[in-house]
Amino acid sequence: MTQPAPTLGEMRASPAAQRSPARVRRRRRAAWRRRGRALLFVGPFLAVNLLVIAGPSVATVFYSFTDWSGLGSPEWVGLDNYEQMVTSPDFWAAAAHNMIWTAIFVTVSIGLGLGGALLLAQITRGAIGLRLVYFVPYTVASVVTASVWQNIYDPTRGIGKLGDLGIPGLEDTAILGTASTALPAVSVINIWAFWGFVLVVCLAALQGVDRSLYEAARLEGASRWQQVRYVSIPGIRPVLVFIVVISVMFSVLVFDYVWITTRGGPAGATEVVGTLLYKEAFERFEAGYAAALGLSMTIVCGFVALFYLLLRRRGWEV
Amino acid sequence: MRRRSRSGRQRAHPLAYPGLAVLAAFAVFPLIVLLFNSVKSSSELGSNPLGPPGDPSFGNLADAWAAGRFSSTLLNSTLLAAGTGIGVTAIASLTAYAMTRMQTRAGRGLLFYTLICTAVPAQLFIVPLFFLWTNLALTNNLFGLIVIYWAVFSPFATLLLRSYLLTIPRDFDEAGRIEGASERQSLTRIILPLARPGLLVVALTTALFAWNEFFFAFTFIQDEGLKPASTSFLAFRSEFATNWGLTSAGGLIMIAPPLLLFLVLQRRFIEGLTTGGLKA
Amino acid sequence: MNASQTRRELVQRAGASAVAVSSLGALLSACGGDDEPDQQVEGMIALWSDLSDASTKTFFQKEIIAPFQRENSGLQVKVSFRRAEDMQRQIRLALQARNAPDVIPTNGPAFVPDLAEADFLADLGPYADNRKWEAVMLPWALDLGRVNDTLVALPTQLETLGIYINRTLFDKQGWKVPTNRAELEQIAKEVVDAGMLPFAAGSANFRQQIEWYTSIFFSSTAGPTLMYDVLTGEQPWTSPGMVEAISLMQEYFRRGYFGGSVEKFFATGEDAVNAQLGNGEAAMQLSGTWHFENIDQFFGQAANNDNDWDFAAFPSLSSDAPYPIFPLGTGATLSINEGSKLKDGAAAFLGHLIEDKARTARWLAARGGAFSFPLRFTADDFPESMDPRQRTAYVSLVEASEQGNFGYTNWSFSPPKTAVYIYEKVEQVVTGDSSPEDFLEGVEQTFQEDLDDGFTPRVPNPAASA
Repeated sequence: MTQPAPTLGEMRASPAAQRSPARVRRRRRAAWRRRGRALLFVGPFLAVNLLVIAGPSVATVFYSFTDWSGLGSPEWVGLDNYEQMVTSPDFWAAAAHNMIWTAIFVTVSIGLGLGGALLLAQITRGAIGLRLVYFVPYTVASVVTASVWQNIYDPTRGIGKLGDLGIPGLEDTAILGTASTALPAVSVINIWAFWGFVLVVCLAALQGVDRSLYEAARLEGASRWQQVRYVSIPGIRPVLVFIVVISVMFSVLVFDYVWITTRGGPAGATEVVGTLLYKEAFERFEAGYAAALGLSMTIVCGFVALFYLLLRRRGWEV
Repeated sequence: MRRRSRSGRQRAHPLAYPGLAVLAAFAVFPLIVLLFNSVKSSSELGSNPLGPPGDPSFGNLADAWAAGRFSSTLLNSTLLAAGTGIGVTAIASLTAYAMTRMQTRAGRGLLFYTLICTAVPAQLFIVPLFFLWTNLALTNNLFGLIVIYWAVFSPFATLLLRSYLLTIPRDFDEAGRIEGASERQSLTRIILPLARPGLLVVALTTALFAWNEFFFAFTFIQDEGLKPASTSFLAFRSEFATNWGLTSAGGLIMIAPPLLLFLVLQRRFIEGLTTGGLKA
Repeated sequence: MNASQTRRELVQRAGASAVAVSSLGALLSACGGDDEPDQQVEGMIALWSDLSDASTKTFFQKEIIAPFQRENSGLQVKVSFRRAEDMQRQIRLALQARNAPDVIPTNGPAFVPDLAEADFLADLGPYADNRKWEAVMLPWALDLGRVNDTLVALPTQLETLGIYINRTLFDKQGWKVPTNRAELEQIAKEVVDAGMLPFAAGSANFRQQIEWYTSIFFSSTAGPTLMYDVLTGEQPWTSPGMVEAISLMQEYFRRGYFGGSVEKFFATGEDAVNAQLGNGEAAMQLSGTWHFENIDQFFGQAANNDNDWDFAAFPSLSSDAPYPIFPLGTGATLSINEGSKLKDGAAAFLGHLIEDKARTARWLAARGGAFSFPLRFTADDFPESMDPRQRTAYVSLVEASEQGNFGYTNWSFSPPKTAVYIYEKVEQVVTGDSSPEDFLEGVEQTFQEDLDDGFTPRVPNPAASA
């Protein structure tokens, strides 16, 4: 049998062909064209992004080195705002609250979401209906969610009323008014809204895990829990890592629910950096200081993003 | 041989259904409370805040509709949601494709940048943005707000779509390239159809975000006639703070459209999430 | 040069131009005073308002704006309604972007100096002189609108704090309105023994509300003279009389006078508070004259109970404070945008609001707190149909301001940073996390900052009026 004629690809791939000057020139031009095309594809994203976010953010970075009040012209003050921030007990208290929030929010949301997805993946009857039910909270606007939960937590119209009706231990509960329970209570609201999204995403990822891997595990005598640990979770790792990363970022940035329900009170018990920033910018008219706070929030998120990228570089397919 | 169900799955854990039921109750009870309260009268609310209505009346819903001017605000919200959903899906598709399919050394930098963008708080850039928008005459203008939403929601959508695209094996691209397809053709003929379920998820999620968004909406939209439901609900809630039945009804009206849309499209949506043509 | 470098350059260049545009714009707007826009005689005057109640809004359009438009052909007024919480922020953004209405509202005199400093507000002096506003407005109110001797804002509300009581409950139990500390503590004890709340109170809907309490405690304990000295910087905030005031406040909160407990106070919302007073679960409620607008909803037929209400001054808590004492307040101001093309028209509208005392009195009678301009009202100005309790309250307030037995509300007379510091940080005193002395130390420091900024409102002197 004669050798089949070399394909175009094979011819192109031959070492000699690779090195010819014409070839190198063509490759460089092709590379340029590729980059140009890439830029074209990425263009719309960059265009709106620079106009709306990057540009104004850079302006704000500039303002963080000034004592701008939001009106009129700013005066340069160098690192004063940052110094103020780092020595401010209010800032550190708020940062601590962010950390507590992160711990609660990330673990519980993912616990519920992943756990629910694992359970849901096992059943067929009613699965679609349940999926729907779990996702619904995510579709509710934060203003409405906050309103409903405030009602539930209310000492006279909600849980507190149940106490009046005789259910023990619930009397005199003022959940959002008590320093020790306020922050966890607000985080529960956010968890309620978010965990369904985690579930649906994890579920989709779970469906993508090769069935035969489970078979193999079962044949080796793996228990359910071991299957989860050695097949399911590694199988959805990219998605899981993504969820953890964005949950942490959202925790650093949290604002909506805290603001609507407690505005950082009572007595600063639920103050987070996001609400502190808002108050500084729009109530104390310290826009320069607020800009410094905003920038520090972004930097922290930057570290989280960096960590995520480091994981990638280490070879984790995320 | 262990007994297996038809689909090849193991029998469900005995605690699965009870566990799922508890989760379902948790997910649903606040909304049930909202529903109940929206049909109660003020006086009944005083004595029975969380339980089922004794004598339901739909007057609240009608009053809320009129007082909250929902015919106008829901329309505005729809415009915002549609414009944002379509725009962001387009932008995110192009960008995610470039990030996963096109060999650019800047890919990692772009990923980092995109991640950072999801981390920038709105308060950080809203003041200069408002100023810029005024100069471009884009304030008090639904299109101006939609452009902001494009910028604000694209990073998250891009990352989401990127995750999905990563799970589409390169084999498809290779096949296309061997057939001589250009980048554009590769994108539109091969990848996008395969990713269609993912695109649907992104479009719906983004439209939902736009529907619910209120911080930018109330900063940039002043005219009563242009306000979306999210901002007008806040005002509605303040105005009728003493009438919890009415505000519950208003809340119900506001969340109903995205909910109904999700219910209608849920099969497609869920198909998108569960099949996605991602099986190798 | 590779793609990533190109992109980085793009970002830098775009960022630089964004900064340039924004800063240039900021500089331009800062020198707003130079380019005086051409004035028009006719047109649409834009105005923002934070009225929230639907019927009040309609009243505003029909009874106030429509007559103005009829009397001034060629001028129209377009109102845009905002939430009170957002309006201040939105106004500042709008001013900075040179996209603000012709008539600029603020949430009180503390917010004005900032705007005036940035040259956003027109000088109202000539209008005040020509149109004789000094004759019709209460002098202390007009003074509050001055920054560095220039009149830039017109305070538009006349308000005070006091206690609303469930009159039916008081009569039934044989209680008398307390006028001093001993009577207050006695009545609180009796109320608690009878199983009710001394004061219905809750700040869940409006956290800032706690400044009502600081205002009343300062005014009723420290007394007019000491407060005047403190607000003008003659005496420190840490003076004994001030410490006593906050200590009393902390103690009464601890005892559960307000809302039953500190936790409940922070978690209870407005409608629950109103309902509690209305149906007799609480004996009293601390609130302001703005509440006249709403209170009828909670008493009598409208609320399915047989109760009636009354209004009285808060008891005097020390010998330094006379009884009755009314903290003076004005919770809003109106100014004219320096960049407006309809300044004269806007001034005419402002004048329309205040120049006809009797007509303004009728608005007040009809709508309560929403349209209570600080004019030199006398009992005769008010219509017969006005609720007598409301009339007594306003007449007493005007008299008090003329005779010197008045106090000072935080939102009207404290300079900006101090006002915010007080209502933010006093929560920690109430929860016991901070001591009155430490709190007042902080207030004093913040007050010094305000003094350095040069932003202190003109505080009326009780001695001068007496």
